[in-house]
Amino acid sequence: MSPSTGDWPLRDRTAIVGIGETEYWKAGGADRTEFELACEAVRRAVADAGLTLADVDGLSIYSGERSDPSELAQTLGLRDLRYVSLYPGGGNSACAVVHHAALAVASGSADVVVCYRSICQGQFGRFGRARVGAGTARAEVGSTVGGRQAFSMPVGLMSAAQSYALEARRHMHEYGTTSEHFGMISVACYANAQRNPRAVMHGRPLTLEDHQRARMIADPYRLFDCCQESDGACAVVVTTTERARDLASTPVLIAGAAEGLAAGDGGDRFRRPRELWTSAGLAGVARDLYARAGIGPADIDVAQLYENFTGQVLMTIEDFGFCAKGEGGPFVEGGTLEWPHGDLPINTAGGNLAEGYIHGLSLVNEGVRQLRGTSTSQVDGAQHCLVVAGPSAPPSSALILRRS
Amino acid sequence: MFPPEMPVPVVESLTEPYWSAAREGRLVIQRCTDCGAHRHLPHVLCPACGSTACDWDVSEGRGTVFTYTVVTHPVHGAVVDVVPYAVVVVELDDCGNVLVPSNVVDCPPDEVHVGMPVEVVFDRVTDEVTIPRFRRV
Repeated sequence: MSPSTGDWPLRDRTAIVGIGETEYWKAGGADRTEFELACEAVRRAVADAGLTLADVDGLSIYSGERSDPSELAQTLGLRDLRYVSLYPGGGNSACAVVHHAALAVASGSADVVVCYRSICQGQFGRFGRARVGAGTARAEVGSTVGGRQAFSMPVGLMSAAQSYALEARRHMHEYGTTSEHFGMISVACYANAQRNPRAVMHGRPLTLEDHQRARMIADPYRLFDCCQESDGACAVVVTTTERARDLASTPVLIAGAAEGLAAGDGGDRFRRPRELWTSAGLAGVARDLYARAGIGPADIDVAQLYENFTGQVLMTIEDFGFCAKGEGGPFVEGGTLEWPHGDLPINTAGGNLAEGYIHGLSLVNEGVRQLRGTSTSQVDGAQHCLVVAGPSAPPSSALILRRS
Repeated sequence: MFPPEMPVPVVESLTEPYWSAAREGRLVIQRCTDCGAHRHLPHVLCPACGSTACDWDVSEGRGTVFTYTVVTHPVHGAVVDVVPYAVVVVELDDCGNVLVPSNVVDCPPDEVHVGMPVEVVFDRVTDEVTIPRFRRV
């Protein structure tokens, strides 16, 4: 059986039973170290599940995680750690770590796996910033750059915003997508943050006019097209659905999980097939995910879509079949993404743009809240929530969570 | 185009033919000698057939802007006084229509557009390294 066809053996057999998070701050605002934040998020998630730290025997994290799992296990007093997984990349991994946790508990290699992400950009500097001569304060003659960056840095391509802007521009050229379309995504996220007291941008509403007036970062991307910089940590507890039935918390089923990289995609952005220039690179992940969960886009009640940049969200919407290729712009018009009346409410806690940028794992937490019925922008009767990790950053990943 | 503080490419084993040619005023693109497929950026083997055998095809250096961005927010000290500047991705007319990240040297950033015809020029940044950039035609 192909892994992309139906009857995925893990469908609904694993569950998220606990979520935890710290307060979220604007970058530099945290009053504790990144490691302390990681410990707090994990403790809260485990307590939320109705478990104890001694029950945790697996950790699933992603690249760039500075809160070392061995130090965390020792500090928290975990016993018999039997499974540790480290996924490559950054925000692309936010659903893959849950996938790997599900694989671990379903196979019996572990009983209870915690996924976590901690980030103190104030303490450690900005994620994704150009590494050579980083920062605008200093630059000396004689710096060099090798590998594929030798073809990008010396022509001034130095940040994620700039690279992703190239794809957004191409989408605009081919399909007539506009900056206002991108802005509608920002507006939907910011509106949700106004109902979420935990959101960094709570109390900071955003109109489409505000979006259009904001300064340009890398054309066509303006300030509010770019995810914010945050401090904070969050965590998710995964176990089998069978074990979950014995716990006090309400489990949220992992109906489907998928990850991958499209043929020809990868770190060299220039060698990719042409169609990937106007895609989030997630069409294959979407195909696998829907097949594994046994549902389609029409069954999705609410979605948490990772915003590195708004254009990539629009391309994610296309890749996951909510509209045809190239029609993401018209699709987002008329409040489609806005809670409560839109057909596809997204990022109901505010998302990376307006709640907090914890490299996407906070989107999983919000997906769980939606299916527990505890979101501050609750979609009535939500049965299925799609969660998508970093678009156009392969290998990337996605989940379909189901109310139990 | 950019000040001397701009990072300079390291000439590595894989890319040495590319930089050597640029220093001599030629834009070359890696080509598989088994199946003939071009590839850029340079890579260790052909994604089409898996062969590691390759040579370097000389491009006429003409193409069009496939996409671009205008950078207004500097993230590196070398470009603080250069913004706004445009980064373009040029689709070459030859060599398998590969895409080349670069700049347009003689064009105000707000005049750059998708489909703009360009041709290569050679920008010597150090004794060792010359970067192929483009100008409007």
